[in-house]
Amino acid sequence: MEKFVYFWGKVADFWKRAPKGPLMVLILLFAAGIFADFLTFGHDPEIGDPRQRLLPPFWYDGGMTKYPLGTDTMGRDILTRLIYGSRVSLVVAFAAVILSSVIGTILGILAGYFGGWVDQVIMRFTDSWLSIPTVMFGILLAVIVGPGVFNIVIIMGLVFWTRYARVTRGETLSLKTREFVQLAIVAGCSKFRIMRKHILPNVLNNVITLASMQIGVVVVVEATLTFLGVGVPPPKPAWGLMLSEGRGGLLAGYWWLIMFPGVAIAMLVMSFNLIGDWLRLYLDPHYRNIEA
Amino acid sequence: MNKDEKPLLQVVGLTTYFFSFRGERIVKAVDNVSFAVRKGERLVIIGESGCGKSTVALSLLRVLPPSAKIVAGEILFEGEDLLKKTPKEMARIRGKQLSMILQDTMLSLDPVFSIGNQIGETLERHTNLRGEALRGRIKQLLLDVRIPDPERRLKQFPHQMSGGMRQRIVGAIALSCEPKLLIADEATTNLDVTIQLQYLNLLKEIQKKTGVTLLFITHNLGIVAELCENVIVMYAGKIVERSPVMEIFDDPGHPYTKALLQAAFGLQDLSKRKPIPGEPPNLANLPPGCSFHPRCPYGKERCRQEEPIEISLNPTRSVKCWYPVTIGSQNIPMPKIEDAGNFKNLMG
Amino acid sequence: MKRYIVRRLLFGIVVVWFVSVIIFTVSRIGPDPALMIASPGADEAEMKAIHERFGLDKPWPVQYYIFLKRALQGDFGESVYYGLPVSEILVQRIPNSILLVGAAQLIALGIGVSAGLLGARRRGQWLDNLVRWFSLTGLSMPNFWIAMLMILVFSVTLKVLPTGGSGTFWHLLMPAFSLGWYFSAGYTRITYSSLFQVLNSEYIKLARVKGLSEFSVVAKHGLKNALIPIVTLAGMNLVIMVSSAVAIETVFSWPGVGLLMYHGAVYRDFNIAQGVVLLISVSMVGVNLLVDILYAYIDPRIRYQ
Repeated sequence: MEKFVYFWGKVADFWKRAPKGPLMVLILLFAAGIFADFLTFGHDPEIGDPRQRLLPPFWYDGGMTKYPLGTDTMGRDILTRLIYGSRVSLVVAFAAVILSSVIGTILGILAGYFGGWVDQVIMRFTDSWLSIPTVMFGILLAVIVGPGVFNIVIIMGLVFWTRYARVTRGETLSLKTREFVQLAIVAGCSKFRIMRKHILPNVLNNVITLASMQIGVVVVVEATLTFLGVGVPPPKPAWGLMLSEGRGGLLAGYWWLIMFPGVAIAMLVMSFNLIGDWLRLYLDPHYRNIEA
Repeated sequence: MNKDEKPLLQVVGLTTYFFSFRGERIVKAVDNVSFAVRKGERLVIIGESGCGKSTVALSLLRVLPPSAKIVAGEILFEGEDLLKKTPKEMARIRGKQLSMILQDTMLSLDPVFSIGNQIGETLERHTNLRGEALRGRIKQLLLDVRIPDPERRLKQFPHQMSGGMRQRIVGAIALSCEPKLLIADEATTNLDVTIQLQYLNLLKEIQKKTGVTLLFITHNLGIVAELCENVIVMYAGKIVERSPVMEIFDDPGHPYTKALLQAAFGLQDLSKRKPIPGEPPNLANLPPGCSFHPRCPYGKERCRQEEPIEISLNPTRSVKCWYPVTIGSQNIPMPKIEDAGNFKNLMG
Repeated sequence: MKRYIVRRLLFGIVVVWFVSVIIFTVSRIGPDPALMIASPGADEAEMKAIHERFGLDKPWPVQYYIFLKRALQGDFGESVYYGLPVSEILVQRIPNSILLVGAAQLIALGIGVSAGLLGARRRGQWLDNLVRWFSLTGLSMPNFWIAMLMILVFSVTLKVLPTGGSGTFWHLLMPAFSLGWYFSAGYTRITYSSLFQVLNSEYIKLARVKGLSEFSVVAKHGLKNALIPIVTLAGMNLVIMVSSAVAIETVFSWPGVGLLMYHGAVYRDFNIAQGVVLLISVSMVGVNLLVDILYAYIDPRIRYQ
C-alpha cells in the first residue's frame, strides 16, 4: 500500500514540476501517432489521388479544406502523412534508444566492474566505434542490411550504444568503491548478482538522462538517413521521406512539401531536448531538495 | 604603537548582504560591523564558519562575488573611504597597500601559470621592477618565506608543490609589494598542525621585519593565542565581543565566546570539552532579539525580545550581551551607548 | 609529458586497428559484393573471375590482411564507378570538405562563443535569451532541412544565392551556415559554463586581490583557463562535421567526401565508401590525440599524470 501511494506521489510531483509546453507537444504527437486512424478522415497516407497533386494549403487559392495542408507529388494529403509519420518517427526513436541503451549499459557495467584488461579492451572498442562517423556508419549499415523499419531500428541501436557505455562505465567505477557494493562483495554475492542488484539500479538515473538527451539526436539521424533513401523505405509515411520527395519541388516553389514535415521534426526534437534538459536537473540529487 | 595616532584601518557600520538570483532571499552576512586596526597591530577576527568574518575581509578589499553588495558603512583606510573609490583606484590599492592571503591555496593559484609568473605579475603591476631586478626580487621573496632553491621554483607550477609551500607562496605574493595591511583569511586552515606553527612564526618574523599590520581571520583559537594581541568575536554577522587576547582566554565575556573556549579547550580541563548545542544560525532568517539566544545557556526573556547593544566592560573590552558572563560583570548596570562613532575610541 | 604522449599514441593505434576490423567486417557482411559488380545474368565462370580479380575467393582473415597491408600503404583499392584509385579521388575531394567544415566552424564558433560570452556577462537580458533560443533551435532542426529552407528563401524567392554547386564564396555561404548552426549550441553551452566556472574561481579572486587590472584578470587568467574546453570541443567537432555534412553536400551538390561516400555506398562502390569512412575514422582518432596533447600543453597538470 505504501509503495502504491509513494509511486503516485512521485508521479504527481513529476507532473507538477515538468515543463508544460514541451510535454503538451509530445503528448500531442504521441496521440497523433496512436489515434492516427481516427484523425485523418479517410485519407490514405500511402495512396493518393493523382488528380489532386501539388495542391497548396487550404488558405491559398487553389487549396481545399479537404486537404488542409496541401498535397504532395502523388496527390496524398500532407496532414495525413504528417500524422501517420509521427508513428514511424516515435516508434523508431524509442526502439532505437532502448536497444542502444541496453547494449551500451551492459558493456559499460562489464567494463567498469571488471576493470583491468576487460575494461581496456571494451573501452578501446568503444573509442573506435565512436570514431566512426555516425551518419556514414548508418548509411553503410543500411546499404548492407537493406531497407525497412526494423532494420533501421537495429542500425540506430548499433550506432548509438557507445555513449551509454562510456557513462555507465564511469558510474560503475565510482559505485564500485561505495560501501554497499563492498559489503556485497564481502558477503560473497556472485558478480552478476552484484551487477544486477546493486550497480544497475544506480546507473539507471544516468542512463535515463542520457537517453532523454539522445532521443532528439536519433530522430534527426533517422530523418537524415530516410531523407537520403537509406532509412524507412517508401511508400511508408515518414517525415524524412516527405522531405526527400519534397526536395524536387523546391525550385518550383512548392514550399509546403518540406515546411510542415520539417516543422514537425523540429517540434518533436525540441520538445525532447527541453524535457531532457529538465529531466537532467530533476534527476540530479541536488535539485530534488529544492522547492519547485 | 602610539595610541593617539589615527588607526590605519577604521571600519564603521559595515553591512554586506547576499542577494539570491531573483532577490527573494537576503542573507545578512555582515550586519553593522565596526572596528579599528592600529598600525603595527595584530588583530584577529574569530568565529565559526558562516559568521561573516570572511565576508568582512572580502568587503574590505571589495572583491565580493556579484551576488553580494555592501549596503552601508564606511571603510576608512588611512583616512580615505575605500567604498568611495572607483574600481580602477581600488585595483591600484589592492596588492599594494592592502593585501590578502586567501584560504584555499590549491584553488587560488592559477594552475596554468608558473609560480614565477604569478609572483612577478603583482610586482610588475605595482612597481617599476623589470627584467633581472624583477627576478632577483622574486627570488628574494621566496627566500624570505623560507622556500629554498628559488631559481628552480620560479618555473614550477602550483600543483607541483606541497600545501605548506603553496601557503608560503601565497604569503610571498601578498607581501611582495610591501603592503601596509595584510589580511590573512583562514590562512592556516588547510595546513597540518606542525606546519601551522611554522607558518605563524614566519608571519611574526615578517611583521617584526617589515612592520606590516596583520588582520587575521580564523576559527582556530590556538592561533589566536599564539599570534595576536587583540580579538574580535563575530557571530551571525555581528561583533559580539572585543578584547585583548589574554583577558578573553582567562575570562570570556560573551556566552558564545565562553562556549567556544569550552568546546575547544574545556576551559581549564581538556576532558570537559563540550560542543556548542544547537545549529549555526540561518543568516537569511535570523531569530528576533539576540541572534545567539536559541543556543545560549544563560538566555533570559529580554534576550528573546531585544537585540543587545554593545556595552563596555572596561576601557579595552566590550560585549554585545544583556548578561555578560565575565567574573566581575554580574552587577554592572547597563549604560546606553548611542552611536557607532564611539567605537572609534574603544580599541585605541 | 613524453610518457603521456606515448601512451596516448599506443591507444590511438589500437583504436585505429579496431576501426579497420570493424569497417572491414561490416563491408563483408551482407550480399556478395560480386553480385553488384557482375552484369545481370552472369554465369558461374564470370562470377569466379570477379571473385578472383577482387580477391573475394580467399578466406576472410587473408582478405583482411591484404586489405590492411594495402591500406597502410595508402592503397584503398580502385573505385568501380570512377575507375580510378580511391586515394586519388579522396585527395581531390578532401579540400572541398575542409573548406566547408572550416567555414562552418567559423560560423559555429562565432555564434556560439559570443552567445556564451553574452550569457556570462549579461545573464537574463533579452539579447542573451534571444541568442540562446537561436542556438537551441539549431539543435532541433535537421541540417538538410535548414538547407532546403534557405534555398527556398534565398535562391527561389529572393534569388540572391545559388542553389548548389561550388566555386565561389556565395556558393559556400548557405552550406556552411546550415552545417554550422547545429554546432553553435554546443559552443554556447561550453563557453558559458566554462567562463562561469572560471570567473567565479578562487584564482580569479586572487588575481583581483593582487590588484591586477580587470583586463588582465579576464583576458590573461580567465581566458586561458576557459579556452581549454572550447578548444577540445572544436577539435572533436571538426571531424564530426565532415560526417554531418553528408546530407548538406547532397542538397547543395557540394563535391566533398560526404557526397562521395554516399554515392559510393548507394552504388555499391564499396572501396570508395570504405575508404572515406576509414579516412574519417582515422582522422577522428588523430584529432583526439592532437587535442589531448594540446590540452597537456595548455594545462600543465595533465602532463604529469
